[in-house]
Amino acid sequence: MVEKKSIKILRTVLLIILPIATAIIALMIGRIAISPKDVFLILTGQGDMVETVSRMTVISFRLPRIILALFVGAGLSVAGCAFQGLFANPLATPDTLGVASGASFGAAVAILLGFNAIPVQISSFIFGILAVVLTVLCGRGKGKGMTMIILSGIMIGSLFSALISFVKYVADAESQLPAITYWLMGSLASTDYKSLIVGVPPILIGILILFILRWRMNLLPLTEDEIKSSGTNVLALRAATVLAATAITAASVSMCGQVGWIGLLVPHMVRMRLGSNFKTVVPASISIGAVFLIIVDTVARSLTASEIPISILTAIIGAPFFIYLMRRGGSFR
Amino acid sequence: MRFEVKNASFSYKNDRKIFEDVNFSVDSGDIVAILGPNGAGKTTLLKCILGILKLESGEALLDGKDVRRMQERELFKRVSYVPQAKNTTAAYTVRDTVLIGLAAELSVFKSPGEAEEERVRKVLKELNIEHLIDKKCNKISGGELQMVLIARALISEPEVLILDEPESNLDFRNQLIVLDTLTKLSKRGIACIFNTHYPSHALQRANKAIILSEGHTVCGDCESTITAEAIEKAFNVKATINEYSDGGNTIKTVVPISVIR
Repeated sequence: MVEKKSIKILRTVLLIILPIATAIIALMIGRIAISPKDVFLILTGQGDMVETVSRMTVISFRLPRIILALFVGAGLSVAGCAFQGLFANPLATPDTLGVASGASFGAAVAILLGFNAIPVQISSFIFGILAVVLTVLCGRGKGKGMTMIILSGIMIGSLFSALISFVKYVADAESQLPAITYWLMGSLASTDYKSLIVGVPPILIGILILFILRWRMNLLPLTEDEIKSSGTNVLALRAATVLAATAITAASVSMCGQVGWIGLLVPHMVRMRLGSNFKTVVPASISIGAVFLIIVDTVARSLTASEIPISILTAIIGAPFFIYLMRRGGSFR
Repeated sequence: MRFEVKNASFSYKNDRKIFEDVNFSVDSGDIVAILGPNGAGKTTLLKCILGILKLESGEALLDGKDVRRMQERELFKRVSYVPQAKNTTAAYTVRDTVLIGLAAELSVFKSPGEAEEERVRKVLKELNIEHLIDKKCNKISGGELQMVLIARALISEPEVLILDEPESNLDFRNQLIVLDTLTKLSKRGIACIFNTHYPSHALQRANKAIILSEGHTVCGDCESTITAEAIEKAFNVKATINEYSDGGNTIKTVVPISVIR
């Protein structure tokens, strides 16, 4: 018992340190390599002693980008966790449920109409919610199996993808079209502190809500009667989970496009190691998700001379993993 | 504690009546068996008792208070539900599954800690399944899972336990283990209400019985309610009640003989 407790503490400490350590190491890596000593000096406010190029690179480019990767990675992972519990389905994620496509469409329309950051986020959130509601309405009913909701999600997703194509079609080919296209491919490159101030709070609030509810989320995959007879308000619990997960997805999409697959990959890696209890899966997904996206983004920006869109990298890892999970069969219910 | 169901009836939207005129009362330590053919509304009645479904008319009262008007949290601190085992196989460990039984007690923002884990060990020990604590629920046998679900219901120390076919799909030994558990709990003052497809189990264990069937639902004291005639009427089978003496105990069994056409 004593030993078990110390393992728990060790795990908690590791999960807190890991994202921070990864972030600091990522600050050093890139086309311009910056020494650990310089990074330390810059972070502790003694940047005057470092070359201006290094200082500018760390503060204006790498730091906001890594902060964004940290929040988006943590957020999308925990959103995936939430959707998987909600639908008692290991394949449910913002991508497979059509939420990401819906949110992208909302954001694309707002960009087309010339709006700036906050309306883009709101529009993205509204269409994200609309997509998940449509998916649920289409996917429930008779053939209730695990695949129904996913098929329905893929259909709703492709519907919104078509609408996004339409937005691109009517967009101004000189300026708007490239902007929308590159943004949708997923990139964290255009981040600055101003966009972080608008985009990070919804993600943070969503993560906090899910973190607070983490133990109660264990009820989500159970039958409706079981949830009710545990004295829990079913509707309130489901609504809180959907809203939090969708807010995270919408804010992420608005800032860096469709960074796919993280909501599938990370929670499953965590579950394979730590079991299904949301009380441990939620915090671990937050931490590992942050680490994962920082690493993938660092690879994306430093592997080749021109940057690789991040969704290409996540899909190359994600698609085979999805097939593996699908063949293994779900273990939620 | 007194649980009462008065003049209860139920029908799904614009459909035939599922059951009507159901009346019974349950006191601490009672074991109530609900019998009836497939589709007679046994599970529906349980859901109405739990306040999950709304009775069309009549009422279900816990100490005089309508269950539909009680706060869910208050109701489910006193009443626990054990669903059919085949419907629940989330991949949690036995420990995590049993802890879920404390959801009505803990505030929304709280997670269970050391004290709650101690209660898990206690309730598992009481049911002689403490060795299962670290096993996953989708890796244990049906009989073990049923006992785990009973543990989940018992951890909150309820006054009423409501079980949906707790001994279905189990072998003889596991059936007896579940039934013995009900008897043991009733001696501790917990009232048990359970659905069953086995009239013999009702006769052997329950002191009150309800036979649901279209048009002639009967409720009352077990011995006088479960008779060969009542079984024939409700199930449309010719049946007989046998007695077997084992030492000092008389064990009654209901034996179906043939289909009445």
